[in-house]
Amino acid sequence: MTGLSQLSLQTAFTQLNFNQLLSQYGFIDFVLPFLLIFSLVFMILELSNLLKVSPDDTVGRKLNALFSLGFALLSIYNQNLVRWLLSFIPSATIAIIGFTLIVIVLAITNKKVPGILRAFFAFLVVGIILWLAINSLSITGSSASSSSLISLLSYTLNYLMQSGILALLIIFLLIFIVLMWIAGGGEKKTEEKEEKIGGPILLRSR
Amino acid sequence: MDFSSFIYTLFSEYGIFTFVAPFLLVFSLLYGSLRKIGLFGRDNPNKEKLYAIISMVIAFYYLYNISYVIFTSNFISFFFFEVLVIFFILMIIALMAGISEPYKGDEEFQKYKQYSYNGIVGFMTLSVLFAFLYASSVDFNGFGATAQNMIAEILLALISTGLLPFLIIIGFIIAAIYWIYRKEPPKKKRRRRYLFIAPGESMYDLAERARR
Repeated sequence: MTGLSQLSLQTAFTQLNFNQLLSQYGFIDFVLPFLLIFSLVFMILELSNLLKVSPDDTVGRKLNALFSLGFALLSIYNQNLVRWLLSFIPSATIAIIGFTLIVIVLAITNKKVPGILRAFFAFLVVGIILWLAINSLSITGSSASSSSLISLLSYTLNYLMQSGILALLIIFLLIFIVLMWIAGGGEKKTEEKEEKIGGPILLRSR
Repeated sequence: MDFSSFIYTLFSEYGIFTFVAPFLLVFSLLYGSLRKIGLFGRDNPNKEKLYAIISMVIAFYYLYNISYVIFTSNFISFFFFEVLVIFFILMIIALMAGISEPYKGDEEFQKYKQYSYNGIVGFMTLSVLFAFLYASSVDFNGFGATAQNMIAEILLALISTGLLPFLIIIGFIIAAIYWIYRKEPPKKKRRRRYLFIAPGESMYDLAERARR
């Protein structure tokens, strides 16, 4: 038991040291974000042929590389980005692992996911990743939350609520929805009724 | 001082962040764009030199004001974060595409799917606006403050003059009038489940098109 606890302590200590070492030499704060940004931007530029005259234009490729280099260096200058990446990427990777496990389980059963569930999965993925992204933005103390623009928006909302205009608008909206429902509901019902009547037309007409 | 801080300090001192990187960004963008659009003719023998000189001069002008460089740094860093989020979403969706069957609907479904696809692409384009809003909300005396003040002034003017509620109510009235007087299109079966499936399916379509 003591051996096991000692081993786990030692592992944690080694990991901490290794992470510290990586951070100390700027691997996490500088090298990794630079490589990620450079490679992604370069790939997108190469795919889109944005700065290339023809697909095998060597000068265009060099320009793509220079642009990506400038883009990566200038992005890293914003220290918030490094914090966002540190917060977002590990949790998003967990999401990828989770979905990969779902894929593995479904691959074992050899059953294809039907259309409706497929759409549900797409929404789930978007929801989870967006939630993680927003979380990492707020955890790292993004200045967007303390900006005067946000305070102005909240002031606008407060004004609308306190002056009663928001309530008035909601009532208007409700009346509008009810009107649409009343005016549009009858036709739909008859349509549905028509649909339900099956069988040959000759029999139906009798 | 650890090594990463040392690198940052060194790069900042030697102007890598505030001079070299923005210069490379703007110069390569302008030079590449000029080469691509061929503004001074395709047969001009001196065109490459001219493009280089024009791009260099504009890049140096851009570097003259440091606040614009900082604004660009915030702008592109937030934009990159958004691109990374889209990248993760597409990666997982492409993974899920392998074990699922695409929904084969009728013509109406395809129409809904196309609308949803266009909507998603439009929303992705909005990421540039979000990045701009972020960059302008960062507190410093420069371009960001100007942009922020501009938006704030517009919103405050809309509120103080009472134009905002007026515009919203007018919008409702116009929508009601349009709804009453519009030409009725031929009645079709509306399948509500398409409203859910079509956007989901168009996301798979997006991943598929990105793969090509």
